[in-house]
Amino acid sequence: MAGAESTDAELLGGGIDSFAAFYRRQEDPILGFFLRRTGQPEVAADLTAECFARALEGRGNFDPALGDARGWLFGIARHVLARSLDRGRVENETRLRLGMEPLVLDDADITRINELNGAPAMAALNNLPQEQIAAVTGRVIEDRDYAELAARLQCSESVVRQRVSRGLKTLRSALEGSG
Amino acid sequence: MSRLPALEQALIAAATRLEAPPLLQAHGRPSRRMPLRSLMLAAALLILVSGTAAAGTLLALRGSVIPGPAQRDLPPEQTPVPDTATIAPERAKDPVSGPPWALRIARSRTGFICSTVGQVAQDRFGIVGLDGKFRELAIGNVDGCGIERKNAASLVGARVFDAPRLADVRTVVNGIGGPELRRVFVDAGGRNREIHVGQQGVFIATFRGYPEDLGISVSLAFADGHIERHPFGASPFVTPDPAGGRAWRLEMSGMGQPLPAGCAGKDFRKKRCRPAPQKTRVSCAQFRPAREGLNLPFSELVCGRMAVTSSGRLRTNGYFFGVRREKPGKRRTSDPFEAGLWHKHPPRTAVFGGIGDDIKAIDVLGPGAPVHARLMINGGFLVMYGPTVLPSDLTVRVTFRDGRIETRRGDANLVPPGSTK
Repeated sequence: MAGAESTDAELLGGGIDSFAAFYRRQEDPILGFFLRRTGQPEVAADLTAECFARALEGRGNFDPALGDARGWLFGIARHVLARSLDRGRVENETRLRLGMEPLVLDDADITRINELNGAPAMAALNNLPQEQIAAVTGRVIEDRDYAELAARLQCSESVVRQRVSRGLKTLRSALEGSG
Repeated sequence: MSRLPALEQALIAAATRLEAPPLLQAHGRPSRRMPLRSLMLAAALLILVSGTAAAGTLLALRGSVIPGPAQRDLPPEQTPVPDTATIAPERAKDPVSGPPWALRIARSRTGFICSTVGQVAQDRFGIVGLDGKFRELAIGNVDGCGIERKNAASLVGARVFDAPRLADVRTVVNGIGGPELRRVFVDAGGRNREIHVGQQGVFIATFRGYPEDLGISVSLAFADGHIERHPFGASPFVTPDPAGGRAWRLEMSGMGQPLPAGCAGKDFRKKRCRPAPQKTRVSCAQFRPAREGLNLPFSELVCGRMAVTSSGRLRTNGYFFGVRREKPGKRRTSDPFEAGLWHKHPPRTAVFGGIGDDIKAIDVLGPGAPVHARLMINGGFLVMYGPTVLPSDLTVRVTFRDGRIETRRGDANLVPPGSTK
């Protein structure tokens, strides 16, 4: 049985229950990723479905020696998003191949997806020092690499890493520290 | 419980149908064989862009055949049967100076038709790397396989062979259109070119550069008169460069709400500290090259405040845009996020910004014919001009859905730099 202590790679390499656990663990980050980029919960859900369908179909190709499972999944997510933008529609080839029915969302689903909009987190983000906002936004929300951010922010990569680290630490304590 | 239980159930059902055995034991030994995607990526990197960086690995490959992916990594639909492979007689001249390009066609184990793009040298099918070495491509290397269709293209593609220098990048347009295919036209770089159609409707053509920069679009005319169009570089999100350089894309982003007075980030759970529903929203636009890469230019960020008409599924009214001449050197603002970075890219003038649901059209009047801006589904628009056009040459006409028209010169409805924080 897939346990909370299992690593992502272990869940990905396990059976059906493990894949379901992997889905539950990575659902919010992937949904949030798509929601931030599209701003539309229906589209974000559709992209998430295609992303996990590809992960399901291609999990045999995952090799932990080449990177972690979360990074591998986000690679799929970025590819699905790019291909969908190129084509002007959300990709669904993998779901068709796997015989998955189109996802039907009700108001409760939309509400739950919109919870990932991160209003509290964004509010907390706005309270950070300006240089940390720039670093955290670039790295976490825009998913840019450190080299690009260093160029944009006109500082070294290590400084960007420090700003991201400090910013996230402050955010974490801000979001966890009050009830 | 998951956030989308229906999706979780659908995935479990699909996994059950796949009846896939566990593919990696929890603490087991990972496969020694590279997965297909990694192998193909590695091969592409080794062959095409490795010139210096992977010299050690190249030594191992020099003179040897580039192997196909491991059979276990390929489904039967994508596994070519060796005896069925033939090199189509059609050739396309290499746009630099290498051997001609051709298509290798084969049948998959399930009867699909498969194609591989490569070069032909001394009757051998392979590829020339950036180190100048020709290596054969083993039969297992296929670009794609598909069901053979009647009166329609079975396979059409534009394959990019990347390189560090733009001048060495090739795009190979190719396809198998079947016996009913009569004529093939390719739009690229502002030119329309007819491509020879061979047996089985095979066609191949080569171009220097990336498909999005060339705006590649392929039109296939069939015997019954119908035409298939396949845009490979054209996209609603890609704006060709007016001077024939790298294509551009517009990125839109939205800003979060500030906290109510007297609240800090840690107070977000307190009801009085939750931001009220937004009546306005700051949206921002920025353009950058369509293809990702290092040290590429990106424009200044321009932002405007839009009226929110629906917050559930975000809807806005209004418009904003900047009229900018981006050029190397000093930036307009000190904030690096808002300032942009133009490196040494030649100057470009652009009109770019965001529009709400109440805007019907944006037209830019300047040198030459008026330009009707393409309104993107991300709520943005981008009109690019070459280095000789100045912002003062341009007038922007905004047409509302209710028939009103506003004519503006220069920036419109922008919030001051720093308002995004």
